[in-house]
Amino acid sequence: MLLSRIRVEEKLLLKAFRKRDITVDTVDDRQLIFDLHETPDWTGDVVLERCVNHSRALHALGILADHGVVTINRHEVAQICGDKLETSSALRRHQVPIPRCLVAFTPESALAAIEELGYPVVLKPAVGSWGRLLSKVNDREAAEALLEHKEVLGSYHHSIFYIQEYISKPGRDIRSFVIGDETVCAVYRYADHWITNTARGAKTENCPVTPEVDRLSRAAADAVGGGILAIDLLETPDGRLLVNEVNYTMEFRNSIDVTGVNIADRIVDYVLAVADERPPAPRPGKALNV
Amino acid sequence: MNDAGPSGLAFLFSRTGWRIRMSHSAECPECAAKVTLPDDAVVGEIVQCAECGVELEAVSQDPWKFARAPEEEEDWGE
Repeated sequence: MLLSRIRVEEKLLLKAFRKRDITVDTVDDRQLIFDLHETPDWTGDVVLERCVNHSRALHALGILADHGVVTINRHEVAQICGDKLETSSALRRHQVPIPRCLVAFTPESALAAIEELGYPVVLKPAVGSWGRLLSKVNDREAAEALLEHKEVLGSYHHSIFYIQEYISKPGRDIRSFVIGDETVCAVYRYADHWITNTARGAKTENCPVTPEVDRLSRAAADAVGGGILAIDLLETPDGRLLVNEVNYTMEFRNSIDVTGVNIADRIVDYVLAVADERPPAPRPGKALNV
Repeated sequence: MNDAGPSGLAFLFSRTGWRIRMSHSAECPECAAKVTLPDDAVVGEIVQCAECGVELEAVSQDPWKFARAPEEEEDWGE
């Protein structure tokens, strides 16, 4: 298990593996050194990625994939899910319903895009999680101030303006958990604030996995490449469901008791099934004739 | 400040009688309070000091030692 720190989720996973007498080596990404020319010797049958840093996870998974190491999730999945723009594009390509989304590269074009979408809108950094740096922009003055701040204070990442239609949701969103081909459970995340991440204090309740929740969740998981994924769904005022985001190193500590589903056990089931499958070949390189 | 050592033998009483267990506690490097880890604690585990609220990472065992946990970075998350 590749990780950064042992959170509740990692402990639950280690316990679930231990219960089945499965040996798990934990590898701290802070101590990793990759030699691009050598296959790492610590990878075992399968590497379960549980890093807290997206950039470390992404690059580690990429290098491991190059050497034919089986990883969960796959590098391509991390590439898509770690970037909200990539995620929205993948979902749209697979005709999964999403909130309307505009992208612009300068403050001027971003302001024009915001005005075209109509207030309020949501601005999000393309890379980020836990509801961090999300902005609900209610009027032009707020938009101008925010765009100037982003341009002056932000890194170059913040000059890719991801602008999303604001969905007036009913004080909650839905987080569903897809493992392999199955939506194993779902929760409502309730908050008084418009941001409903549990990392920001939202409370969870069981959400029945209706045929619609199941269909959309699995479609979203397929669109990003599948694996172990947490899907965020929004309920629109007219009763539709839209897929907001897909998370590839999902947290689930607040969703076990309310759903009654031992998510860690289900993850272990999936990891063992993947480990039993035939491992992929190393990714092909292209020989250069010199 | 308290006088909790980094670890030691603690005698605990249970229904089955006296038993010996290693103490899962160490000093908070921020405020010197005694911070107790769960029985199944592992190196790398994150806990919060109940007295000063700082997030701590268990960085070694036998004896247990804490360091301040890394600060949240921009790309942290799910």
